[in-house]
Parts: sequence; structure tokens; C-alpha cells
Amino acid sequence: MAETRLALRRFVRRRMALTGTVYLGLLILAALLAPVIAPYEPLKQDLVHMLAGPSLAHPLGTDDLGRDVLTRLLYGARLSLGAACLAVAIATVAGVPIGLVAGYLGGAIDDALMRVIDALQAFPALILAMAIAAALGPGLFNVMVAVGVVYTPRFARLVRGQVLSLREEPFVESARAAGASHARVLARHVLPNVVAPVVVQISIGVAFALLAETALSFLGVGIKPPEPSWGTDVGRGYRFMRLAPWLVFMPGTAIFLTALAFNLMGDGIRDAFDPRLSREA
Amino acid sequence: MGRFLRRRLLAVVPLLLLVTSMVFSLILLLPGDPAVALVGMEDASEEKLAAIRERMGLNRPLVVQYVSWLARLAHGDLGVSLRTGQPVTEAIRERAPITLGLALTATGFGLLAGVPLAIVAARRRGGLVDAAASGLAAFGVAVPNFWLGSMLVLVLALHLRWLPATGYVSPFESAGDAFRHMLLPTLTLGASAVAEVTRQLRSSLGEVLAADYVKTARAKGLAEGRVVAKHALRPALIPVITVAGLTISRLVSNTVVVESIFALPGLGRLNLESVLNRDFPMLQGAVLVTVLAVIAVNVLSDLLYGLVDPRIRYG
Repeated sequence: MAETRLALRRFVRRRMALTGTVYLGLLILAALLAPVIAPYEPLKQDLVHMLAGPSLAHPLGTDDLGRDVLTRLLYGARLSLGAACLAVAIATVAGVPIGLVAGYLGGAIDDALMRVIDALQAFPALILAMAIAAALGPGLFNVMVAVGVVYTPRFARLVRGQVLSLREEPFVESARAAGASHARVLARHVLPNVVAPVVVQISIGVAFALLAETALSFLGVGIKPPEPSWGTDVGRGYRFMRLAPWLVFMPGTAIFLTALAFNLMGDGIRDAFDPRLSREA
Repeated sequence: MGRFLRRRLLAVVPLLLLVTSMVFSLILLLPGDPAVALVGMEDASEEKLAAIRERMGLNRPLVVQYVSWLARLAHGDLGVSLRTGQPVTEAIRERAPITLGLALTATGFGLLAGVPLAIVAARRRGGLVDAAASGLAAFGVAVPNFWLGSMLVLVLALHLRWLPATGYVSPFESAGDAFRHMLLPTLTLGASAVAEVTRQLRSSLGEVLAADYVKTARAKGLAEGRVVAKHALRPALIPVITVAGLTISRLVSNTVVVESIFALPGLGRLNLESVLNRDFPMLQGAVLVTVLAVIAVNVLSDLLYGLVDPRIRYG
């Protein structure tokens, strides 16, 4: 507990990480409260005010169907953030057990699992995600499964590396000597010690998943219009870029700032839990 | 070096088998009857589907299908496109050089901009360039490249009219035009490479520059430029080479987006088109060639790593 409190204190002192976290907190709050705070309905068209620039009535302008960009941005945050979190949840649930088993058992099982992980990692991420999404068929959930599968090796490798060194620790050996089963040793002694690096990876993973999801939606493979999603909106806005550059600029900036914030938060958590790993050290 | 080379190349064999079987298995993920997906139409008659199953061997055991697919692959036969009827290998031969050119220029840009930036940043820790390099690295990792590309088009092509917004010109037609058309895609694709090279090299160069032997070289009165070039750069490049595979893989991934924005008819766009058209033979071929290229680059970077650092060769 004392260690967690110390880490928290170190985290709060890192200004960039704290800024990123506060931004994310506000963004999540805004996304949750979208139905209350959004000035319009996300799908409501207003053909009289198509492609209107930022004004008091529409602070971030309107799109080609006269829909309010700010409203779509707020609703889009729900879908884009939710999708990214879902993909990382899939990757965590799949990758952590693989890493635990491979690192702890070693031998042929480790070899076999790691070769599969190697093979998955050989694929360029976006291309593998696209191919899986194409095979599974369209739909947000399938795309997120695809991004989750692509990110699974990162968790598996990370956890395996941690477990390999933990396995040799005296407290693990003594638990085994005291007669604890493999499952108990893994759950009670090994798993709690890999939580911190996994949390860091989750934070950085959400940034990756957000960029992947928005790229896939931009390309027309991910979330389908008319649902408001940041990537889809950039893709649609690209067609009207000469007339209405804000259609690309606004959602693009939201994606960039959010990915940056998740990265900064991840860096901050890593430095807080293990100052030796700091990039600046 | 011979033993190292052999060991490294042997390790690729199981990887190739796994990767090819994964690409092959893409068809198994298809919901419903693969024959329906392969023919590309929902309303095909049962006789037609049966003929396809027979012709493509879909009614044989999976292992047999995989082995015969591998055998055809070994003969360079990847099937024909469901959309256009064009042989897949022909389409790949036409498009791969464009992607290769783009990837090479983007990597070149990454190195040409990243290495000097990292050197200046590492030598003046805490200075203005160092802060800029850190900012650039954070920017490069988080920026969506479809957004960066769009913004570059907006400013440099649509507003200032300095460069063409989209399109491809072969360097064999007009070298100048080809250069102008490749500039924006290269900047967009290379931005993350610049960030990655700068981040890695800055941190490893920082460590090496503080090492005792570098201090000795300085104490001997060697000029700072010579200290960096002769003594520090080579060991500092090792961590950069280790992540080169990952950087290249990310770069290849991003060619899909960049080629789409700038309407370049490369392999990345072929991947996307075959996904959107659900053209599975083409998709399998394009994915396979892309992943094989990434594996080849990874093996090369490993060999280079061994060449630069003898500890790896004999370890």
C-alpha cells in the first residue's frame, strides 16, 4: 500500500502525465454527458447550414449535411474511446494468460506459444487488423476483435518477460516448496507483480487502438457512417477539405490529443512505479 | 559470422510456415460457406458453388488444401482476382515497386532528419533542440498519419499550391514530376520514422557520450565531431537497429493509409482494395507478400545487428 501511495505521489509530480490524465478525465466525462451537454442531436441534419464555418450557433462548424461538428465530436468520443478500450480489454484478457503460462512453464509450451506470437508480430498491425476484419465481416465489434488480436502479442511478451525473472525469485520458489499448486503460485505470487507494467501497457495500448480504429474507420473498414466516430468523420471530411477544412482538423486534433494523453499517462505511470525505467533517467 | 548467419536463417523456417498457415487460414474465418465468399456473390447456384468447391479443392481436408496452396505458392501461383480476373502475382509485381520506393524514401527521410537531430539533442541535453526533439518524438508517436497527410495536402497543395495533392508519376516517365508527387507521401509516412529514430538514438547516444572511453577520447584532445562520429555513433546505433524491424513494420502498415490519401497505386492500396472488395485470393497474396517483405527486413536488420555488435554473433 505504502508503495502505491509513493507511486501516486511521484505520478502527481509529473506535470505532463498529470495534464494528460486530467484531459482524459474531462474527455470521458464529456463523452458520458454527451446527451446532456451536446447542443444538437448527432444525426440531425440542417441542410440550410451545410458546411458552415465555426460560429456562435455551431462553435466547431457543421458538416456536409449540416450536422453540428461539436456534437458529433462529443458523441464520437463515446464510440471511439469505447472501441479502443474494448480492443485493449480483448488484448489484455488474451495476452496476459499466454504470457503467464509461457513464462512460468517454460520449455516446449513456451517455445510453441512464442513462435505463434512471433508470427502474429511479423504482420504489419494495420494490415493484419484489416484482413481479420475483412474475414470476420463488417461491424464495430469485429474490428475491435481484430485490433485486439493484433495487440495481444505485446501483452504476452511483456508478461512473459516479467514472469521469467519472477520465476527465479526466492518468494516464488518458497511458495512452490511449501506445496502451493502452479495455479495458486501464478495467481497469488506472480500475477500481482506484473500488474504495474500491464497497467502501463494498457494505457499505451489504448492510444494504439484508438489510432488503429480511427485509421480503419477513415479507410472505410471500421465504424460505418452515419454513426459519429472520429475516424469516420475525418474520412468523410477529407472529401470537403478545400471548402471546410475544420471537418478534418477538429476530429483529427481530438484523436491526436487523446492518443498523446494516453501515451503521457502511460509514461507517467511507468516512471511512478519504477523511476529507474524513466526515459529521462 | 557463417554460423550466426545459418542459425538466424534457420530460425526463419518455422516462422515462414506459421505465417503462411495464418494467411491461408484467413479463409477459415469467413462466416458461412467460403465458396460463396470466394465467388463473391450471394446468389450463386448450388451447381456453380459445387464446381468452385471442386475446382479450388475446398472439399478436401484442410491440411491437403494448405499443402497444395503452398505448392502453388512455390510456383508463384497465387490465384486470380475475383474482381478483375487478373493474376494476383501480376498485380503484386505492378504495385510492389511503388510501395518499396515509398518505404525507402520515408526510411531515408527518417534517418536523414532523425540522426542529426538526435546528435544535436544528445550533445546539448536540456537545450532548445533537445526540447524540440522530445516534443517531435511525442508528436510522431501520437499523430494519426491520415490527419497529418490531410493537413499537409491542405496547406502545401491546396493553399500554397507548391506540390500536387495526389497521384503517381513513374520516375521513368519524369524524374522531376515523380519527385514532386512523392514528397508529401514521404513526409507523411516518414514523420513517425523521424520520431522513432530521434527518440531511440537520442537516448542511447546520451548514455554512450557519458561513457569513460568517450571521456578519454575527449581528454586526448579529439575534436567533438570526431568523438561523436568515430567513437559514439556506432555503439549508439545498436538500439536503433534493434527497433528497425518494428519501425519498418509500422511504416509498411501506414503505407495503406498514405497510399489511400495520395492515390498511389501501391501494395498498401491493393491490400485495402481487396479488403473492401472482399477479393480473397488478392487479399491473401497482398498480405503474404507484405508480411514476407517485413520478415526479410527483420532478418536483414538482425544480420546487420550482428555485424555491428560482435557480442551478438558469438553470443
